[in-house]
Amino acid sequence: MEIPSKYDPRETESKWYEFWMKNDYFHSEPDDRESYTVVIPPPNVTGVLHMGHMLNNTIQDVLVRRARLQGKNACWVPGTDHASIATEAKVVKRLREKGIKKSDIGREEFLKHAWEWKEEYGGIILEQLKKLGASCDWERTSFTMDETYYQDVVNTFIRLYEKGLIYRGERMINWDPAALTALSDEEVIHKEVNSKLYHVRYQIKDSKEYVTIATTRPETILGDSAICIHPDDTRYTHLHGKHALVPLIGREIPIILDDYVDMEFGTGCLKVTPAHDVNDFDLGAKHNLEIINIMNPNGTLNENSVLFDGVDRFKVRKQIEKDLEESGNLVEVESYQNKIGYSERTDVVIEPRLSLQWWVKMDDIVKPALQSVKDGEINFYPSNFVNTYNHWLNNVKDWCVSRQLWWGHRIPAWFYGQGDDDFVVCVTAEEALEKAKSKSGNEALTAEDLKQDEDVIGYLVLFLVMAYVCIQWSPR
Amino acid sequence: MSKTLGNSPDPIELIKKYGADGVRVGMLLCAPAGNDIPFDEGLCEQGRNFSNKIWNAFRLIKGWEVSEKEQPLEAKQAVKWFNSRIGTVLEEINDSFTKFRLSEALMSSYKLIWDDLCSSYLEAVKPAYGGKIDPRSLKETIEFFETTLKIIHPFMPFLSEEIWHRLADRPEKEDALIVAKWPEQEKGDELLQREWEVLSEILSDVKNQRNQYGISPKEALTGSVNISGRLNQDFSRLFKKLGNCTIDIISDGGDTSPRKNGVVSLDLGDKLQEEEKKNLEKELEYSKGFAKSVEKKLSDSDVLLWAHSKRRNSERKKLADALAKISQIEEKLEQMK
Repeated sequence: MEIPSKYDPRETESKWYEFWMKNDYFHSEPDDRESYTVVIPPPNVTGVLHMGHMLNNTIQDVLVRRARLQGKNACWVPGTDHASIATEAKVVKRLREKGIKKSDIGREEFLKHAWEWKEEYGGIILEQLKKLGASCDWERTSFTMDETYYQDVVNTFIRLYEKGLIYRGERMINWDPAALTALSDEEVIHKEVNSKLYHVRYQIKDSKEYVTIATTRPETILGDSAICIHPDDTRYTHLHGKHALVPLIGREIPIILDDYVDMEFGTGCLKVTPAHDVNDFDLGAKHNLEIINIMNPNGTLNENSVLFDGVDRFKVRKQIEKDLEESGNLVEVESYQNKIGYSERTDVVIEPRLSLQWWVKMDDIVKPALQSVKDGEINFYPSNFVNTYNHWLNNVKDWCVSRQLWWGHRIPAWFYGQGDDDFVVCVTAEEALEKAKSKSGNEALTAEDLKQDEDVIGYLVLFLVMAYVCIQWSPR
Repeated sequence: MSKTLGNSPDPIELIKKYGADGVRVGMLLCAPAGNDIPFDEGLCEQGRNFSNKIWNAFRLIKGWEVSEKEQPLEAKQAVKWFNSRIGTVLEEINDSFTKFRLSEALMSSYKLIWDDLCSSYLEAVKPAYGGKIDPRSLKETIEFFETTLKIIHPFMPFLSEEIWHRLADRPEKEDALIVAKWPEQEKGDELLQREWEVLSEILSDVKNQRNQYGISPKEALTGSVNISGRLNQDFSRLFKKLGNCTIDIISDGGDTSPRKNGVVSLDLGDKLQEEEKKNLEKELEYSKGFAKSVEKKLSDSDVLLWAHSKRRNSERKKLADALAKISQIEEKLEQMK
């Protein structure tokens, strides 16, 4: 055999990869040998290989190939992730280029387009992994929206719900007050606009002292639940434990301490309005603050605002500027440039709004995860990463698992009424009808009265079942 | 490097440029487990160079012609040593794999092939230019090479499989390297390896001095070296073959494993003096040139330049030092005549 003077990887690599594939070396069936199984962290179906994939897949292949040489039954299960947001965004964009809106064609039609997109572009990344030499058992390639996956994710959701590990709770979403619908982040367009920054002073209770805060949305002060200052801010040490009064309505709110506040910014005082701002909502949850929703779905204020029941948010903004001026609470108004979110569809200003979402209760679910590491059943290499793991799991908050998207595993919840609790959780519409009848006591309910949740299930649930689906073990 | 920053190279382009094996090696060379990775494309190049190194070693072996003869002593010594070396390194590699320290496992494999196999072992057994190899050495060398291919296969699957099939006709499915058996070998003989290290250190001393004094490798040298402990093996043939030198080993009579004391002292005689003379002459020329430039500066009548007497003094001192050095060198050169 002629030996070339230079090694030519291009020729050699495709030749041997074909040879390995043709001879089925990557395929594994269970037998008496010790098994060595790796489940690929599935790359996004929309993805192309980047250096992060290169490193982690090289590591997996090195381990799998050595195990194979050691005579173990090595099996590396490949697959791709349906990538809810990434894929949906790409499909929405493609449709838009054809002048089609997602909302015009409806869920079913949209999903058809999504599948088409997946067939056309998905799986590039798996072909790229072959170039790297990845010795995956390609016969076992799975996709997280495959039928088995789909059913297992849905069933796991139901099981978690039945065990009380999934519940409905409030969270901030993007609300379109004209279309009366929630929007995903992708459907919000951020525009640079000229706004006003209002400096408003709040009187400290039982004192002649004031603190000043700045806001671009003065109407929201009617929903304030606290004033927040940095614990180390010496300018306000004397205010620790005191209360302030909301201007115009005189409601008492606590002064809370949190290092979330930037002392350098403005006066170092922050108003906290949990019902109308994403960050304030988190801060409110942390400090257990009251959530005061002052707005109706259509953008008018409600009776919680005390002063402006039924008046549109922008009219209130103009009026409240005058009122604050008159009451002596308006210190200054300056012009200000900021980015504001507009609805892609209706071009109205988005309101952050509390909405009922599905949550996984993390407290209970992380217990076995922590315990098995503590018991040495699961090990970390290098071991110091145990600390990161423990820190993360010990501090994890409840996890939102509903997504305002269509491309994904649809939430198996069926609503039969307007009440927060008027729903049942199960796989099929038939089952749902039976359950709904017995839960509501209303035998007259029909299939038309049932409406399935529009949202899809977030990844957390998928990850819980992934390892099992890959080895064809059903959590059912 | 970050996906968000978009400053990450395209992996497929890297594979085209350096080969998949080269990129795999490059990725792992820069990534001790758990740390951030300062990625450097140069490491992929290092990976590709490693591929070429292995390929060239393969070509070297395949180019050998055999003639029926006894295995020479130096080859016997090399075989015994490399066999023991594989045992030791394999233990290191297995240990690293157990701890998921893949970079370390790769580094051990890399050194085993590059340093031990290519730079030492193959040099020791290869026939002289135009000569032929004995059948036993060839057989043992191929076996060693196959063992290292198994070890490197997880990291460089393509190259290793290619060479595996070029080394022998392997038509059966189970003959492929991908399903070969991971080598098992007892831990190597430490003393043997220690002795071989002393050999390498001596050869490297000789090589350094050749470079320093500009002595061609073709010129045979003699010399001696002090050793504490005992060197059991007679390495004289390897000194000759690998260093073109004859080295007297002067042991302190101790019974411990051997250690080299100080630098090998070579009988360089006239060569040394010639070299030193050349160096002194170079230095003389430089110093004279320097003195001249300072003198010129001092004779400059520019008032502004000499406004600071401090500066003038420092220039004067420089000149005095240079002149002193010149007379010193001239004196030395006079003595050498």
